[in-house]
Amino acid sequence: MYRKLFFWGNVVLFVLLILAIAKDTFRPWMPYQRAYRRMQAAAEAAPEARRIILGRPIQIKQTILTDLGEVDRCITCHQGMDPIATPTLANAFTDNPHKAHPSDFLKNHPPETFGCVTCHRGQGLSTTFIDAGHTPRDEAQKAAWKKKHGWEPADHWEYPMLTGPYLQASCVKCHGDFESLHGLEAAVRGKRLLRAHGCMGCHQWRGEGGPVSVDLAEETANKPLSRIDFSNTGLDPEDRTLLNWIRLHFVKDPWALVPGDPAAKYNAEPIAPSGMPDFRDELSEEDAAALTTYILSGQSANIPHTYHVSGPKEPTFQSLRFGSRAQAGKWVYDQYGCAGCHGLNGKGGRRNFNYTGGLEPALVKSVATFTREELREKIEDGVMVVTKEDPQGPTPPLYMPPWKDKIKGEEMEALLDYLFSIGEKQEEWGG
Amino acid sequence: MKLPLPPLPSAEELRKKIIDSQIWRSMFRGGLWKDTPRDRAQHILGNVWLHLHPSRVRKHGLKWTYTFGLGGLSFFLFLVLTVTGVLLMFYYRPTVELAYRDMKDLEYAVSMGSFLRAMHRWSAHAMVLIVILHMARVFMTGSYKSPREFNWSVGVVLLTLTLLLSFTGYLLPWDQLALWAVTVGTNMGAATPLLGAEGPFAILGRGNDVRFVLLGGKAVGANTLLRFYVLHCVALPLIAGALMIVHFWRIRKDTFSGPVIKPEQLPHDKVDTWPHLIVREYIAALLCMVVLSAWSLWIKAPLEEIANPTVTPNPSKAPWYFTGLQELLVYFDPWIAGVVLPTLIIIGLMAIPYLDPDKNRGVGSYAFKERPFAQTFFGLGMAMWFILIAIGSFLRGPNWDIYWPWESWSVHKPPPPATWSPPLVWGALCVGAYFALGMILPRLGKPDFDWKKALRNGAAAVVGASTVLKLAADLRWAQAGWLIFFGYLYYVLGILVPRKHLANLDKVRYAVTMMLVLLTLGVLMKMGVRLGFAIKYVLTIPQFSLNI
Repeated sequence: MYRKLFFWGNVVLFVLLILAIAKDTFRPWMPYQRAYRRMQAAAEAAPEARRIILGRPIQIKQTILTDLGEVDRCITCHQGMDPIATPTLANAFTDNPHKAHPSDFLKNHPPETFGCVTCHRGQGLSTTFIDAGHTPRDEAQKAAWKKKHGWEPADHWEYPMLTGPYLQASCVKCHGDFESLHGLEAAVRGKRLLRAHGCMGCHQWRGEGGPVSVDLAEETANKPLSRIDFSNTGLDPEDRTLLNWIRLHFVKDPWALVPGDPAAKYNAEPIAPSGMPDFRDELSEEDAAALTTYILSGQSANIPHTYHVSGPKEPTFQSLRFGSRAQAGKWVYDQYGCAGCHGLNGKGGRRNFNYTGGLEPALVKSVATFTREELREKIEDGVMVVTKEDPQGPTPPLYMPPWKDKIKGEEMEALLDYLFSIGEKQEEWGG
Repeated sequence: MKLPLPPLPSAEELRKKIIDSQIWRSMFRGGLWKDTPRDRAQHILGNVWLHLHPSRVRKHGLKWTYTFGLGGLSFFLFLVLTVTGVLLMFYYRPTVELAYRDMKDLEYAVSMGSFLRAMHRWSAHAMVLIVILHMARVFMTGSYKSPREFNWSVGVVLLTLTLLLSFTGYLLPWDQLALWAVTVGTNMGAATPLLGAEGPFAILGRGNDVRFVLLGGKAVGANTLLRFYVLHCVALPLIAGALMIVHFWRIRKDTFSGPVIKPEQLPHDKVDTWPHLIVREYIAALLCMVVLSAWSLWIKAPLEEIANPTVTPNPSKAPWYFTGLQELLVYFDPWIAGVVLPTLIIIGLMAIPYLDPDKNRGVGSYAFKERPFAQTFFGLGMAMWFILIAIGSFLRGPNWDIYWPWESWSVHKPPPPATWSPPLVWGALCVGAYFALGMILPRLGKPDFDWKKALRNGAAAVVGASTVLKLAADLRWAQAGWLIFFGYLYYVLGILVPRKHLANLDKVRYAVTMMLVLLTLGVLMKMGVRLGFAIKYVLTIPQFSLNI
C-alpha cells in the first residue's frame, strides 16, 4: 500500500507543481499581446519591419509615474497605447484592447507622464481583466463581458474605471478651467446644478458652504465603501459603487435610501431619515449623472501642483453687475443655497422629518409675517433648535444655520430686497 | 577509420560504479546497499538529517491512529513556511508605502508570486491548527507524563510561538484585514493589569505601556510594521528553532511514549526505523504537500483594501485562532478575555503534567476510562475554545451581532438588551462564595457515591429550584432554561466529577487543579448570567477599572 501511495502521491504532487507553473507561465494577458504583435506585423509591408515587430518580447509592460506615484500596467494588454509598441500612438484597429486612444488626448497628456489610471481609474497594478476594475458602459456591455470574461467588479478595489460622462470627473481634478473646455458638459452642468438647487446651503465643497451636512468633495467623494449602507438601495452587489450611491440620491427618494431609525428599533435614540429633499421632480436622470460627475471630481488625488491648470476666479457679488438689487438678491439666494430648504425662488418649503408641519417655510408665504429688521435677524441668527412634531420622535435633520458671518452688508440688503419682492402680501392670502 | 567505443555499462554496473566512486563514497558514508539490519541502522545513524531518529522504533508508535503524524507535520509545515517565507522576503519591503504594492506585485507580476503567497498563508493556518491538534493528541494519549513533563511545557511554548509567528505575519500584507486584526489583537495589550494603560491598576500611560512596546506607537503604524517584520522573519523563527531543537532532543532522550512493555514483548516489539518509520513520515509530508499545493493553486491568499487607520471595518475580526478570545469580549472586559485568560491557559497547560498524580495510567492510548477526569476537562477546554472560535468567526456580523450564515449582513439587528451590574457587596459575596464553596463542595461527599442516582437527584434539584425561582421571581422560560443548563453543568462538572476523581489528590495539587476547574467553569457561568440575566459585571470596582 505504501508503495502505491508513494508512487501516486509523488505523481500527483508533480502534476500539481506543473499545473502551478503552467498557470503562472500562461497568463491571460499574453494572447492579447501576441495578437497585437501579429496584427501589427500583418499591416507592415517590409519583411524587415515585420521581423522586428514579431521579435518583440511578450512581457508585462508598465509605466512608472514618478510624479503621480502610480505604476500602471494597462498597456500590457492595451498595446495601442504603449509608446514603445506603437510609437505614433495611432493604429487602424477598432476594437479593445488593441485600438489606439481615440481623439488626440494623448498629445497633450503623454501616457508616459500621465499613465492611464490617473484619468480612467481602475487598478493599474493588476494584469487581469477583472482585477483591472473594468466598468461596463451599459447593461448590454455588462452582459457581453460576463459571457466573455466572467465579469464581476474587482475585489477590494474602490476605484473602478469611469465610463461615459463620469470620466469627465477626472479632467476637473487638474483643470480649474474646465468650464471653458470642450467635452466637459456634464461636469459643467453638475457644478451649475449644485449651485442652482441649493445643495450648498447644507453641504460644503472643500470647506465652503452650509454646515448642516457633509462636505461633498472631502467626504462624499472620498467615502469608503465599507462606510456605505447599501441595504436600502436595491442595488445588486455588483453595482454597489460610490458612483451609484451618489447618483441614487438624485433618482431615488433619499428617505428610502437612508431611512434612519425614527422608531428607535435598532438604536437607543430615534434617528431621523436623511435630511436631503426629494429632488426627483426637479432633476432628470441626466442631471443626476451630471451632479454625480461633478461630485466625483472632488475625489482626492495625489497630483503635484505643476499638473494643475488654474481657472478663472469664481464670480463674486462685487465683481458681478446686476439689473436691480432684487436681482442681486436672487444671486445671493442661489449662491448660499437657500433653495436647498426653501425651494427654487422661495416657492416651496422642502420637507424636514418630524419638524412641526413637516415642511420648511415657503418664503413666498412667510416673508410677509416679518418686518425687514426681524427677517434680517432671523437670517443672521438662524434657527438652530427646531420644534418637533412628535416630541418622542427623532430630532429633525434640518435646521437653519446662522448666516451672519457669510451674508453681510450689501449682500444681505440685496437678499432682503429679493425676499420681499417675491413674498406675497398677507392680504393676498384671502380665502 | 572507425574508433573503437568501449562497451556501454549496464544499469547495474553503472550504479555500482557510481556508488563505489570516490565522490559518492566521500559524500555518503557506507558502501553498497545490501538491505541488512546493519545497513538500515547505518542509514539512520550515519545521516545528519535522520540521526534524531533511533535506529529501531516500537511498533506501537508506528500506528497512524496513535500520532496521526501531527508532530512531524507541524515541523514539516515549519519547513514549508521557511522556504516560502524566504522566497517571499526577496520581494517584500516592510514599509507602509511599499508593503501593499509589493503584495500586488506578487499577485500580478512576480513569477509564482501568487502561488508562493497562497502557500505561505495556507501553510501558516494549517500549522496553527495542526500544532493545536498535536497538543490535543499528546494530551489524550497521556504522552506528557513523566519523564516527559518538561518537553510538554516546551511544546506549549512552541504552540504560543506558532500563534505569535502567525499573528506577526498577519500584519505584513498591510491591508485592511491585517491592520484591524492586529489592532484588535494588540488592543488587548493595553488592557494588561498594571502594565497596560487601560487595564485595572494601570500605572503606565498610553505612551509607555505594553501596547506601546508591541506597536512602537500608540496605534498600528510604520513602526509596528517594521517591528512585526523583524519578529516574524528573524526573532521568532530563531527562538522557535532553538526550542524545536530542545523539543526533538528531549523526545529522543525521554524515550517515546506508549503502553508499558511486557518483558515477553521486548525484542520483538521494535522494527527498523528505515524504512518503516521513514516511509510513513515521507507519505505524511507528501500528502500534506499535495493538499497544500492543490489548495494554494485554487484559492488565493486574501488581500483586502490597503490599510487605512481611519476606516474601521465593521466588524473587525482578529485572526481565527484568536476570535474565541474576541468572542469572550462580549462577556468579559479585555483585561480578562485578552490577558488573564490566555496567560492562565498557557500556564495551566504547562502545569498539567505536574498536577497529574499518576505517572503510568493511560499512557499510550486514547482510553477515556483510565483518565476520566483529565479527558473530561481537557475535552471541555478544547470544545469551549473551538466553539467560541466558531461563533466569533462564522456567527458574528456588524456591531458584533449574531448573524446566521444564511443571513445578509445588511439586515439591521435590534441592540442587545440593556445590562446591569449588582452592587459591590453582592458581587464580592457572589464571587467569593463561588470560589470558596467551589473549593469545598467536592470534598464534602464520599468519592464512591452512586453516580447515576446523583445525576438524577441533581437534575431534579436544579430543575425544581429553577422552576421555583421562575415562579417566585417571575422569570421568563428562557431564563429558567439558562439557569437549568448552566446550573446542571456546574453541578456535574464542578461538583460530581471532582468529587469522584479528585478525592485522592494531595492538598496543593487539589487546590491548583480545582482552581483551574473553577476558572474554566467560571467563564461558562459568567456567560450564563449574561445570557440569562443581562448582568454586565458580577463584581465591579470602577475606581481600579476592575470589572469581572
